[in-house]
Amino acid sequence: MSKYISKYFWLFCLAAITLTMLLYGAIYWAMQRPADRNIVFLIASSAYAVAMFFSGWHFGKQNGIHSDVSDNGIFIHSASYIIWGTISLAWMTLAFDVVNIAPVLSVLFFWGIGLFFHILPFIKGNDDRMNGYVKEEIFE
Amino acid sequence: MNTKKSEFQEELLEAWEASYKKGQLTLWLFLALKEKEKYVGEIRAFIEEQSQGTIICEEQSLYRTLRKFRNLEMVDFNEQEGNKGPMRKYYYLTALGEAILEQFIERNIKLFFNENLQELLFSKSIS
Repeated sequence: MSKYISKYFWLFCLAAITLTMLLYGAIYWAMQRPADRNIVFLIASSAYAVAMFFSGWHFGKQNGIHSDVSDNGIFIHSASYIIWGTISLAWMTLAFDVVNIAPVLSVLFFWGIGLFFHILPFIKGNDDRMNGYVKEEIFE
Repeated sequence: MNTKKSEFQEELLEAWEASYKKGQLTLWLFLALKEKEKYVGEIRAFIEEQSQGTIICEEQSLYRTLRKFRNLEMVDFNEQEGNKGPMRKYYYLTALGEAILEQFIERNIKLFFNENLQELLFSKSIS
């Protein structure tokens, strides 16, 4: 397996795909039932946020143990962005038949800016790092 | 009163030792590999024996450190059969690892061997 990615990263991707599909499944189901819509939205999105957080925390920690990346959060963060973005756009356009996908694009835009600044030091391989390791942490 | 003072002294000493030992694993690990190539269990035993039990390290943290150092090209390993069956990774210092250890000793360890410091290190305090 690669230096930065272990099977735990792929397990996180699998969990994120499943959870995101379940979220949109719940939203789709709720849209057919206007009476329960708000409560289902609230429960589904809260459960999604909590489950994603704990998946990222658990599998990210395991990925950190079984690979050599010092900031393994950037991989979990990037995967979350790609998975959420792809599935959201797919559901919006294919299942919900929504014409206006601006809200999703807007989330992706601002989230993308945050993600960019998170991964920038890693991409740049700046002076604080050697082969991906933070210099100050190499000999700790 | 004296007991209180000696407890305080012991606490201070332990705090100093904890900070001092933090960065020492690399030196001990490199010294273990300088002697000869070793698998993780042997590295751990070498460190504990030679440091007279003052440096204790978990095998898990040794594996992690060795993997990191391997990615930084300071150590590498050969897979060889162990005494009882499974293949073992025998780690050794690469040319880069040897050069770094040599320079580190030159800059940071040898200075303790000048006469003046030797005298200071091993003489009793005046006060």
